[in-house]
Amino acid sequence: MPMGIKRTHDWLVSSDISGEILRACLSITDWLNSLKSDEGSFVTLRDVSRVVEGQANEDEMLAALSILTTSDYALLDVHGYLDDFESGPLVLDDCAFRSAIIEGVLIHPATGDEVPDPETHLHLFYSLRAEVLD
Amino acid sequence: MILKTLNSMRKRMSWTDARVLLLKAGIEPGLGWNKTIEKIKQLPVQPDAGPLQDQVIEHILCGQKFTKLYPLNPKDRTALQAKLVDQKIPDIAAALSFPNHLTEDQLIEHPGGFSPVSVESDDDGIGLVFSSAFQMKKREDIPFEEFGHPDEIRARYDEIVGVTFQWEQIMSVIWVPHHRDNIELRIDYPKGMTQDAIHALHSQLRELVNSLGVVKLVKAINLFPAVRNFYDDKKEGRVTEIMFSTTTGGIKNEKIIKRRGQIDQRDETYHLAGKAGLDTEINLYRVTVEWSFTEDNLFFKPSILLAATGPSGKGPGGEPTISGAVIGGCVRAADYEFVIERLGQKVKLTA
Repeated sequence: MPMGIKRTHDWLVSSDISGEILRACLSITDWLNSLKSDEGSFVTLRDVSRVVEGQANEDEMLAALSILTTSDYALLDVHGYLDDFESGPLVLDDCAFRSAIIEGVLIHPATGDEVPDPETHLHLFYSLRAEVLD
Repeated sequence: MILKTLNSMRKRMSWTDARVLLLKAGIEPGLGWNKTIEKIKQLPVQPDAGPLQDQVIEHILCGQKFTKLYPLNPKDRTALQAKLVDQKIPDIAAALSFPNHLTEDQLIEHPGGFSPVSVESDDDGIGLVFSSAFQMKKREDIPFEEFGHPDEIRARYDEIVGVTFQWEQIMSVIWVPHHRDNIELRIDYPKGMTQDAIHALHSQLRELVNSLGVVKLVKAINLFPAVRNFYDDKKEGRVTEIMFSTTTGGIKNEKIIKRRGQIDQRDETYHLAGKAGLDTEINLYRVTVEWSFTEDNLFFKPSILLAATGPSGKGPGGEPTISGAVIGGCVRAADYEFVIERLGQKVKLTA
């Protein structure tokens, strides 16, 4: 197991997190550890749902993902893409993603226009942090 | 003045490119075009439009182009460059407002065909810039509220889309480099322009070059050899899309969605496993390569797309041919020149 993933695993086991959320965190961590090097680049909620199926409900899964993206021992980065009818998924750069999440303003990367109903068009995905594989 | 420039940028380039140009010109963009323009309007002193206009000119020369290369006999170079410089620029709105784009009303009055609007030069070469008015098919969402019974319509449809035909200003360039033995014909290739349309425009521009009486352009250089050469050279940029056929009867289009990551389609696990299952080579006929540079905390991402219409054709050994490349993501002339140099090496053009 790469050191970064092991550190997160050990921290989770010794932390105050408990119950289904802990189980979900550990399942996701184990699953990430099992992936080939490039397979953690585009992890969708569908992938994670399959991993925690039968162990955690959707709220618990999202709580686990939140821990795994924001804690000091985070394994994942979170990103967003916009569904565009003509171009397919358009990945947002960090600045556009931040404004969509924090300010609720989603700017179309091609037109520069504000996209109405951002929650309908914005989709999250996760990627394994490169540094945790060291 | 700067508002005209901003509106021109909004018409001709993606927001992603525009943000980089604004930051390069020392203007902090807001969230999207509307807020950026509003923010600049409220400044007590409007920023000087000059630096931004220089960058718009570079974008007109290099941004999002469909480029065809034609062989140039070095002995014709000076005469052809002189001919470009000597072209009379007519007193038409497109030339008078250059590098700003025309308004929709002005575009309706634009003369047909290619109108010369400026001669530009830099360390790389000399170019004659043309403006054309081109009708593009556009899709736009129609809000439910525009219908008599919006709730009924909303219950029935997720989205309502209208199609309109709008005039757009297309900028084209005849570029004669100082050090490469090719004439480059570069034409704007905005989203929504069809392959047929871009090739038709290229044919007209080629005839325009021939009418200058210095060279006779016949056939664009076949860029197809670069497809395999880009794919095989794993040190060359990052391949983000490929299309190929297999002897099992499959046509595969593989893309990397995470554009700014390190994953390369050439080494992607799924791609390698698929290839490993075959006894025969894949027949590549489309490739996109991206490069990434960071300078002064700005991120530049030039790219090239080479696409044939299918896996075989009338080229050497039954290969398809590719007469033009889509060179995108270039906000500076240096980005474009970098890509064209790489293309030259991969097609194995002599310098």
